[in-house]
Amino acid sequence: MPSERTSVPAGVIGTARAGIDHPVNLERLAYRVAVAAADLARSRIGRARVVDIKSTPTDVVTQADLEVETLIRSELLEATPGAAICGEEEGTAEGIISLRWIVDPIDGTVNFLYNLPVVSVSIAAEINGVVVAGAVADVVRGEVFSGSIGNGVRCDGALVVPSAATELADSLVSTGFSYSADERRGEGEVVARVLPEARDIRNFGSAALHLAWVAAGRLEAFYERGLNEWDLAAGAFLASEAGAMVELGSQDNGDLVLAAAPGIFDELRSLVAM
Amino acid sequence: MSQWSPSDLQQAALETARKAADHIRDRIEPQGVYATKSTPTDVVTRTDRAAEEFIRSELERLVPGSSIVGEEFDDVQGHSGVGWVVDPLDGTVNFVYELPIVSVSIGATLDGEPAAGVVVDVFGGETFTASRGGGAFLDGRPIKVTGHQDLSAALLCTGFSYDAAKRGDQADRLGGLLRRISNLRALGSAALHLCWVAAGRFDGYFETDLKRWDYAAGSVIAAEAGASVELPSPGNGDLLLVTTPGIFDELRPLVAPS
Repeated sequence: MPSERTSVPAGVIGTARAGIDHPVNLERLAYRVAVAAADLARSRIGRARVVDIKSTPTDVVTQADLEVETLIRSELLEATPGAAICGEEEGTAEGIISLRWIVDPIDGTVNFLYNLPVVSVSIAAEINGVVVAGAVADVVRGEVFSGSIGNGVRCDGALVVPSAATELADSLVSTGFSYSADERRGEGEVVARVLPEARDIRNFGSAALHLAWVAAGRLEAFYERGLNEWDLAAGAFLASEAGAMVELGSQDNGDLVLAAAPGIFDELRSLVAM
Repeated sequence: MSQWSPSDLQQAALETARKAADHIRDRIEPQGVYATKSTPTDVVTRTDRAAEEFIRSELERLVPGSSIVGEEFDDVQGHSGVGWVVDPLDGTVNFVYELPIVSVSIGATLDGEPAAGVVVDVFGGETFTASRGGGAFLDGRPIKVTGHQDLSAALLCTGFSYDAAKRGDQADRLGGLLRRISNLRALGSAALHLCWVAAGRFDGYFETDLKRWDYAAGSVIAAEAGASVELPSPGNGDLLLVTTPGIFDELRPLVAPS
């Protein structure tokens, strides 16, 4: 996919370092591949076609998901031969070095299927089990959020930070709802607790973008249950690296992912944790 | 009888809304909070007011003697039979947060009846248009609603009131609603929600406590795309409900205010 932005703009992320697995190099690579993948996804908007049905009829895969994931896999493996890749659509390839890529080719597949222009590409780089770099590209608006460990988070190269809010009443809180009708009922009860306390609620339908926007201070918080690794690996890293507080899902917390500006994390957690 | 046709008004609104969207995009950095309206959570930016001033002067230039109702300034009473209902920046909270989901919305009335509507997605770059009897269009191509019949498979959108008491009522019904549909989005722009129902991207949209400028354009676009449209009134608890026709009756009792 030709793109005027497939090479990383000079000075945007930092200069290349020695070693393909240096976090700054991984961020540069994730940025470059996310831009190319977003270009491909953009060209497929309006031509979505369901090719497979996953857990439930609303959990859909499109031909474009598969095409975009294939592009991402080939570009990442060309630059980092032997890396493992965990993708939403094609499962995990075993690697021979400690680097593992965690990829969601089109985060917001339902949006994509409905031509709702809120979808993203999510790419995270993990070394020895720890995410050290990531990029989330907004397919329609073209913005790219990227970061590497110790190096902060950028939106199109400009450093971003989370909101400094200290009151939930001043906070825009984002969430998403499960594919499962049974789980959605409980989620409705949680959002009913949050709604009267927060400034407002948003659900744009892309977990990766919600998390990137928390990193950039465009949302005070994001919470959702039942997310997969590929939905949140890059976004949760970006939120954390930018300075937000992030709690990842576990059996102990009911599989809750919560990312929030530090000033409101505890107050929100008390409402959404069950 | 006015000298203007619905399609004339659509054209004037289109020209004006596109230029206003360009101005807003050029001022991509929000200009800061400088006034608050009904409650502290309802934030207005300078950009909002600048965009409405521009739209008002442009519409008055194109269609002299128009009446104009807008979010930011007092009503203007004209004499041409043409009325405009303007939201210069629908999704103001999004804009303040630099969330790139905002729109310019211009609705037109002719002798008091809805006649045309134009909504421009400022950062998404899409333009939705409709005139009464002339169909609805996205960037010039005809659009229509999904045609779905099955509420349990429906993707809906909504927004929440700024008023805390009304929000409590909205919150109370969410659990039951979520169990009956496929999923729910809330993107923060009423005008875009309506246009996206029109374009078959959502099966339906509901919200209470909206202002006329939030839906004046979008409801015409949705109706022309084949949606069932119930406009807010004191008698229906101020509910706006706009859906593909096949789910309207089943959804209505789930979202109508108690």
